Amino acid sequence: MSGILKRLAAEDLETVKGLLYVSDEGQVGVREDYHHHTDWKQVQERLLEILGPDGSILYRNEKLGDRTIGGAPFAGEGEHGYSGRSARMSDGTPIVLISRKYDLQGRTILIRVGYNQDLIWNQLKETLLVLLLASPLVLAGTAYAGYKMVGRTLSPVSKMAHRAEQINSERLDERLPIENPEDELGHLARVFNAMLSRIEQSFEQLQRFTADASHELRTPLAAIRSIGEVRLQEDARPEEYRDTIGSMLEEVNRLSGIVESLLTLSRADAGQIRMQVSVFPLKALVREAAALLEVLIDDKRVTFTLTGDETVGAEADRLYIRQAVINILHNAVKFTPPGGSISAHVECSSDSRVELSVSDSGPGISAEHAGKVFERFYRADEARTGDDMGAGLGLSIARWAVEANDGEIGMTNLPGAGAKFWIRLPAVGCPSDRGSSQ
Amino acid sequence: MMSLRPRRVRTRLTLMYVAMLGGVLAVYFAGVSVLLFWQ
Repeated sequence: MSGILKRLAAEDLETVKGLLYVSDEGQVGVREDYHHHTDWKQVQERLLEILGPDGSILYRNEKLGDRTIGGAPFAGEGEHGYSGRSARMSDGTPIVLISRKYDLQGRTILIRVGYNQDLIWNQLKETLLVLLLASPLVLAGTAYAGYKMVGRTLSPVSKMAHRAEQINSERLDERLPIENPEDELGHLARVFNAMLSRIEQSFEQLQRFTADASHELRTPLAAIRSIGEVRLQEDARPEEYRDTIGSMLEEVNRLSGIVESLLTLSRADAGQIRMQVSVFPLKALVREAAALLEVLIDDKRVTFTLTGDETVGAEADRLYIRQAVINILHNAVKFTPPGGSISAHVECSSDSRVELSVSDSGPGISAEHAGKVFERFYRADEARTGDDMGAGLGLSIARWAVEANDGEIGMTNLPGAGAKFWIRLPAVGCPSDRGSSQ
Repeated sequence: MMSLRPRRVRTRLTLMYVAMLGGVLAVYFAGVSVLLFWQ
């Protein structure tokens, strides 16, 4: 007998017991006028039989009619708690029978409650049938609700796709909408927006580079043309023609320098330049670069000093690092006033790299321009575009050369006046514990 | 051969939900039925 049925039967038996009475004639009955009792209707549905200790039938309810349930009581039936068993009524109907003995006003009675098994089975079948019939409705409802819910969940994707369709090279400032920055779709939108920002930045850089390059190439060409045109407007002596051609060649040289720098940066961007790494003494390289600029240094009467460790070597591509050092020194010479000084120093840095610092006594660079000096075609003073000012590509090339060799480059303003440019490169000969020993 | 897999993610997710619920209901019905008939 299941726990559910046993509990149900126990409740029924207790209810029946509570409704029993003994009439003056000694007859046992159930108070049927007790209709407002909440359990009465329930008890009416049961098969109820009350027996005396000798097996005589004291009461049977209307549902049972003339039939008997279970026959005479067996020994010990209902004496120790509830007795339950499957049985058949007198007309053969299968039932589940629960019984228990009670004491009613000094008389021992046996209350039996029967449950029609067919009814139980039919109820179960009906319940399962209802569940099965309801299933398609539940599934249809779920499908509808799920479709709506998924649509709502995916709506940010539709909005993002709609917005993305509108983004082109003319509208790179547009961004994907972010409804909830915390969820996965918000994260996706943020990642795409970051990517769009990078693309926009690159696009702007490319446009600026193209415009700057055109401008820089046009300036010497215009100079060559104007020099030539002016000279052709009047007759001149051979010496004057020679001067004109010399001036034109100077502009051609400047043009060649710009084109060569652009070609270097273009090849660097395309990844076509392979570094030939070797170990070389950095101080000797700086001395060699300074020798190349000796004419300019002497021309401006600038004092150049080189100090530092002679033995420390850099592990990098010598050719491109040489170009970077020349560009940095050339930059220092350009911005150092006549009679000023430039000092270069080579030493091991605290992170066991070799560091070259070049300090000048020029005007320094304002904080506004300091972060941009390594950008292509960037000049701190746009008004100064003379022959000695260059095209603004030297430091860009220096940065590329240093970073391509796993190095770092930077600048700081010196207290008072002047600027200090520094590069750090992988070193050979620097003590690895130098940083901890200091 | 035409694939029966729906093209739209929305439809696929809906079908997945319904299939999951159907599966859960089927297991639930089977469990309830076995329990009730066994008792």
